[in-house]
Amino acid sequence: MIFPNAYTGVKKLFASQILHILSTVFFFVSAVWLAASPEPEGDAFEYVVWITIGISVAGVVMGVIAFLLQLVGLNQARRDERLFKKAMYFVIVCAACTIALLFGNGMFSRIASGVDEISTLLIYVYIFISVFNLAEQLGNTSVQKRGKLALLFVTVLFGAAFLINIFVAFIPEQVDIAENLSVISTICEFIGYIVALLYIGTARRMLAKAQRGVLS
Amino acid sequence: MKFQDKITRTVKVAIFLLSVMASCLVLQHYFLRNVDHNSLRVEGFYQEPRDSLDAVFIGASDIYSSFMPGRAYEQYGFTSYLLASEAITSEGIKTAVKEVVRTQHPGMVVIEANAFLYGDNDNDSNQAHIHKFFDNLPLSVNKLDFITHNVPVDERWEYVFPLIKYHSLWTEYPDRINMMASNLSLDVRGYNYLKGYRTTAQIIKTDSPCLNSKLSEENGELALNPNLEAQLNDLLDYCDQQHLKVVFVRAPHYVTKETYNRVKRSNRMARLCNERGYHYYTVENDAEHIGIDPKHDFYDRDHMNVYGALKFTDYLAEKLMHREGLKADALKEDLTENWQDAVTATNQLYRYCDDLMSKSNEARGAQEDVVTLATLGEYSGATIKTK
Repeated sequence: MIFPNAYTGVKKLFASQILHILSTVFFFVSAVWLAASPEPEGDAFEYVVWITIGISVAGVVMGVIAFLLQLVGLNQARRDERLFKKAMYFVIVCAACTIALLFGNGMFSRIASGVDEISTLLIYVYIFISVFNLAEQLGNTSVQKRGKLALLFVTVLFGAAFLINIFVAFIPEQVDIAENLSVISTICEFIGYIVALLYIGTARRMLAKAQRGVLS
Repeated sequence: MKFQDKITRTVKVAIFLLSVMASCLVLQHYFLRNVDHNSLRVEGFYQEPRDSLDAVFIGASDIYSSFMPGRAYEQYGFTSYLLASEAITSEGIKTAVKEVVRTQHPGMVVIEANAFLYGDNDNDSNQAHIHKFFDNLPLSVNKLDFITHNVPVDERWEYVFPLIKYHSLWTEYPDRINMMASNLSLDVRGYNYLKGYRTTAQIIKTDSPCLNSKLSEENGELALNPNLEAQLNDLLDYCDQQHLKVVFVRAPHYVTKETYNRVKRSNRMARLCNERGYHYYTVENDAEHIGIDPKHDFYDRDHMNVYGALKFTDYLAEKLMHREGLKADALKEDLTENWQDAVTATNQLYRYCDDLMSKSNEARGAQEDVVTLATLGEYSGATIKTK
């Protein structure tokens, strides 16, 4: 058992995860840059606008490439482990929600945003279980143990981000807690992405070893 | 059972439960909901970006049929919204003010006095009027506070999940399809064109003698209903606590012998507000002086038509800017475009109503719905010149 398809697919998932994190960082930087810029006037205004557009476009391009890599990676990996296919469904749901968020507002966007967050969590849940299955077949108990831990962390982090976002909608803004909680929610999601990256990296190394084992 | 199978089963159960919740939310918000012009107005308020409004107007139909935010922006440059609901109760006014504080922090809050001028408690205990406003408020601490203190225990869930009350509305389809489409279209567009304004295209038809010409000399007072006076004091206490810049206003009405006591109660309320340091504009008493013609500028005894609303808006906006010191904050580029759309839609609506009233005097509602908005395209959005 060398799972060549899973190896190629997980490699792409790993690259996609890195791009996804970079894209999030770029969006964060563009928001901070815009907020920290002084009152724009004349040439300074053009400068601020172009830098913001540049960073945001880079973030969008990375996000799109990450999405395509994730989709292709899962499609390849599913030939060796069927549960990767379920993660693929939720990638498509996430993409649909992101598009809906571009055009919608109000309750429509709140529902789309909630579905998007839950789907992101489910993508990772199915990727982790798939890797867990592969590790079981390869007899790699260390990756299995790490998988359980990563699953727990990601569920707690994304679950917390989801609950915080619901809570933020209800608390009075005058207390200024809402903004702080939104930052906490973003940090939770970001740590979740890092945990996912680390575990996918572990899976990639496990599958690479399996390839080398056969070749040697 | 294997670990993977346990997780898969948990995920499936969670997805099922979340799907049921999401379906209920969609049904409650779009399909099994009593959507009317009040819903669209309140919904539109929450779509306004945080801290983007210079003034918020709160009250009943007396204000949403009298003040045109699009016109005020075009002529005076300040942004405003009508967080108003048909026959809003005094509790509704208090909750609306708290919601404005929670979401907008505007430079000024303008409250139309009507909710405090009833001679009895009938309006405040009218379930239909209570539901018309509170069903449309999103769940928040302020809504929960109202529910906890004012709603009987067995009715509380209806306010939290209006689906419980309106689940049988499906029998009223397809008649409700236009309002459902209006709700969806507002949600997708993300902002309200008329900023809460609603009118009826009609010129008043009544044989009752109008007493508006006597009002400028009317100084008599009549006590407010004790419960409503207590509510007013509660509201003023809250405004003091929050250091809010609040201005009270009484919009013009076609005053008859039957409604004359409301004028006296309004005078009393003006004195109470002034004593607490809040300005109160009894525009109703000066309606004739600002050029509001009782035979032409009303669509019924309680509401002005577009002709009256235009005059009232110009008058009040000028007072708010120059006497009350309302300031217009600079807008972001995308918001400027939205407000330009609001100006165009308001001017188109004026001409649409003018056209309807000149052709026939059959009453027709004109508001933020897909049917009215689709018709507006046929009319010019250029500035309305006052005579």
